[in-house]
Amino acid sequence: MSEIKRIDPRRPFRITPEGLRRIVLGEKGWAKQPAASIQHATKPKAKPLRLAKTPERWFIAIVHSDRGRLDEHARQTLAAAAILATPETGVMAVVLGELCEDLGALGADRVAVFPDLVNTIYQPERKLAVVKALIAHIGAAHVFLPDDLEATGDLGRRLIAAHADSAATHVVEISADHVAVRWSGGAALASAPLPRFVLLEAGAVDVALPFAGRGELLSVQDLPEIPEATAACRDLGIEEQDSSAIPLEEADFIVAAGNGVRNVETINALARTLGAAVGASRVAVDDGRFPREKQIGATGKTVAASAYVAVGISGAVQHLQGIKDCRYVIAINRDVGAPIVKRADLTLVGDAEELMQALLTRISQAREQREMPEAP
Amino acid sequence: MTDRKISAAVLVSAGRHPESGIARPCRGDAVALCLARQLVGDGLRVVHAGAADEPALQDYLAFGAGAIEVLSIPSGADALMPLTDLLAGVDLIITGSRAELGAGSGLLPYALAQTLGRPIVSNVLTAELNQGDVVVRQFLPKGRRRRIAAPLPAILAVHPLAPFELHYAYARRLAGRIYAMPSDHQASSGASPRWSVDPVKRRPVRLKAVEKKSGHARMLSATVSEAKDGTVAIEGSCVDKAQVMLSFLREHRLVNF
Repeated sequence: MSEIKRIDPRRPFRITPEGLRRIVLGEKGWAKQPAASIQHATKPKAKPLRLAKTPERWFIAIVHSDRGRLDEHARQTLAAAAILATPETGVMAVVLGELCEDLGALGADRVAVFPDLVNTIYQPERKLAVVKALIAHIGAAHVFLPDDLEATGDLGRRLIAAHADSAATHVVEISADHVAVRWSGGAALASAPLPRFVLLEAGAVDVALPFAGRGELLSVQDLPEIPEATAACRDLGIEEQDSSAIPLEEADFIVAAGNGVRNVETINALARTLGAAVGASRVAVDDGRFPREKQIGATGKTVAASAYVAVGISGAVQHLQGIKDCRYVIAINRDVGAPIVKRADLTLVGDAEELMQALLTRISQAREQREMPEAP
Repeated sequence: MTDRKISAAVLVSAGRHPESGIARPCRGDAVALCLARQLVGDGLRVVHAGAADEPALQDYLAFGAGAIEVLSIPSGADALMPLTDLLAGVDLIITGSRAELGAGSGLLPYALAQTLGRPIVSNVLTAELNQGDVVVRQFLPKGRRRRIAAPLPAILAVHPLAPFELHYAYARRLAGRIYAMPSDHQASSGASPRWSVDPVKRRPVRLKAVEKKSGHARMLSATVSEAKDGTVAIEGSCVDKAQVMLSFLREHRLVNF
């Protein structure tokens, strides 16, 4: 017998309110803690409010909403404004398009929503008039916009041209006192002091915030008078392409098949009914059921669809990598323990073929019901 | 088509390879040149603000520029005011969407539109003239395209993915001419900040909120992955589950029926 003093790994301990495990010296016996107390300690607490008093000045983040929510790029822009704001600075979110989520959790103290300034209509002059009036009304110290290839980047540049104030676009790095952009196409970074107008590239900001904003929704009375703006150009409408005709990387709705799908016809029919593009996992492609250009994942394509329906896909890490930018993932799988279930927003557990048949019936029925009142 | 011949100008800039720094034509501007040539044919003016001995200009001649007018301004100077004076009488100004040299802010067409008081349409893929209007197809993500009719005079900023093939012809490069024009403007606008290029290559640093957390909390956030609270439909028949999915799609407005 060795004389080394052994330490009992299960020696008595107490869990503090912060969730820390503390050893109690001098106690004998085995530690028995009710499981509930441990769970209680790790439960997330409500985040504290960032603003303590009435703000003296304001930062404005201008974003477009997509289906009533903000996309990742818009969230990053709002988070940048909230992180850079000092304790006496308020953050105002200006949302163009309708909104059905609480922006307080994303750091906004005031939220102005303009539901009629949607992205589907080309109205840059009206948007510019609204935003200019708001900035003048609030006297915003800094204005942040996401620099996308769509309406927000366009609006931001119109705003900069109209103000002739300090501005930076394609910003990849931002802090309280400087911004940096890629110089001459990415060879080096160039820095400048933080300008008044900042157009942020995607990925420059981490959206995790340790605090919350007040999230007060402004009513029409609180907003300034909006001057009339005449549209210079005529909008001749949007050409919608069939989802199956456009490349997978650009598709907005994807139905993907994995090893659990034996009948390719059903998945194609389901994609047609939903107006979606068809993708596949590596196994399904290797088996020869789908062409190589349909493969989604690390060795295939990376997709950024709004809705991704994974049928019979277990969700290997390589596949999840390819769908990390998808907003809503729906899994149809027999195995409730598959990794895709952790990633999915909705999981239907059951046989893929039976569920797809049921979906086909239900969705074509829903389409017909929708089309009925419009038919003469 | 109106009887009057439309005057058009395309702005071209000097490009640089991002890694090697070798002079090359900026692809976005070359595509804009193709679109402009297709739109107005031979009457096109090609304008470059910068140095007349820029090697990349030769490639624009090879792409069919014919003759290039060079506004001689010192490198790094603001091209807005000299270009405004030069292009005031031009019906249609066509540009790329961002330069390859310097910050590449993509602000120049917007600043021109502001000073000249003209409508601007960005992300243009194709364009055609139609009864005094220019009808363009605009790029939108997710495979959508928008058609817009802009009244002349107007400014078009061409999307880099516009569907044009660049045809390089050495004979055109030899036949083309470059005309240097002096410019006496010195003032610069306030919109562009003073950039200082970092001497060391580095990755951009992500902005993160400073969070005072205990070691235990940091350990938890590093080890416990944030599982999504997704709904799992196990009970019920296939028809019920199909209904669950349809309701989910409708709730998040992913379908329009």
